[in-house]
Amino acid sequence: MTKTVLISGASKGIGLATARRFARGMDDVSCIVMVARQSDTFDSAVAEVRAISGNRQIFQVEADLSDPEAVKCVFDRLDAENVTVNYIINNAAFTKPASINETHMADFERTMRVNVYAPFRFVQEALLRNHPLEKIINIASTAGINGRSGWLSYSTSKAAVINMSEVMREELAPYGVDVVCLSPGRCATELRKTLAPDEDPATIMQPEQVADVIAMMSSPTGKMLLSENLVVRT
Amino acid sequence: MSLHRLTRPHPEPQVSFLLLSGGVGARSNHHEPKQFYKLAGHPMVAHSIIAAVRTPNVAEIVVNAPEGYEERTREIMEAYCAGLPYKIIPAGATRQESCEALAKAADKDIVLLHEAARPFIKVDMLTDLIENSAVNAGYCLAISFSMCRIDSETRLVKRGVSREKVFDIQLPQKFERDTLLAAHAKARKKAKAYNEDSVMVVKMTKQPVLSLEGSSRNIKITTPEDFIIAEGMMKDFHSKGKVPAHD
Repeated sequence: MTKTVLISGASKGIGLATARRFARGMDDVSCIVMVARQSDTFDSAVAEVRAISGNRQIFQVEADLSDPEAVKCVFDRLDAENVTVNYIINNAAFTKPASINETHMADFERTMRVNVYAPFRFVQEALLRNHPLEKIINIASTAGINGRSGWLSYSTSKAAVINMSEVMREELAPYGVDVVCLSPGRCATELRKTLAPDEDPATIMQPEQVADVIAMMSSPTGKMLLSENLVVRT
Repeated sequence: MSLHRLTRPHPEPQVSFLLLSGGVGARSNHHEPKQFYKLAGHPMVAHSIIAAVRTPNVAEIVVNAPEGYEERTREIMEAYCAGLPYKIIPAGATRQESCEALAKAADKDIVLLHEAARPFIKVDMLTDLIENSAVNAGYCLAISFSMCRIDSETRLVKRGVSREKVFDIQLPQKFERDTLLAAHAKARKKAKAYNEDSVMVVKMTKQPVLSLEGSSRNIKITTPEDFIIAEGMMKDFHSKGKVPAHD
């Protein structure tokens, strides 16, 4: 049976590394849905993944997940193409680090919409449309386990993702759907650069390493991983 | 909320899933009928709907609503049917009446009969029943405890009951709709009361009903204590012997 994986935030970082990983070496994945905001970076990312994907289908779906209607539009597009989703990798994230004093509500709200509401909506919409879901992988963060000063909105949103994943795990059990929450530590992504601009990316975990873990979790071996919140860090 | 059914064909045979959900929860001591009580976050009735929706042969769901709970039932069907067609039929005065009303409303020639009070249901239980060559069949469980007959007046023990010959009748069951309807019509005409349908079909129509091996986990939730037990059982029920999703 061939599977379809949907990856949000697929234009760069962990999302793109995961798309590459699925394009290269997951035998049972025949279709990859890459979701990200419209940009030249996204176009290049999709072209790069297509180039290495062999016979796999690559769907490029442009969506700004801070828009409450975005997830519905993504599924409208998938339904129109008759694409059904087996795995969802909720990876897209936004951050604008600021102290309590300097946090603008618009930024906090955008963080929650992209990091919390969008992953929820992907799962809800897939259920309401009877997609044959098998696995949800929510990308949280070690910043969601312990709050970090200066990262209030991001830490808050990722703590919500960890708790939301626990609820999803119980509520999706009757559907036969596994839910995994993955909390990467410091990882060399653009989002990390926003959070820690002075850090040398070469000294920390690489997106490809997280992608390898995600690929393993999506494999038959991954079925044995039912950790409540799996931390990956170097 | 707008729903979009994917254009996935239902394989043959297509069946109607009849879901008894007419109880008012008199014994469960709950503020609303027991089928709306939450188990693993979902209303109890939703566990049966989830299994039906994930079963490829199920082409429609027909469910009862107790009086006064039509709207709540509709909300649940909208949230869980994922675009699968459904009908809500008023519950009758008895289980027998509720069942007949469901069967009359069914579109398909083959019906699966289940009840909301049995939330420990999986897709493979439904597919095994559908794929079985017997036209009429249902799950029955061997009884693991000792039984006896007691004189109802004197309360004196009279004699034992052979466990080899007596079984616990469970749901789901599968029937040819016309046979089930004929059984109900005849029972009604003869003023015969039955509290389940496999014996009724055998007695009223002489048609054979095959018993398939039931499961000790397929319990019927009735009392407040049952809910406590069920919440614990639900925690690992779906992680054991997981059935892959269909597509």
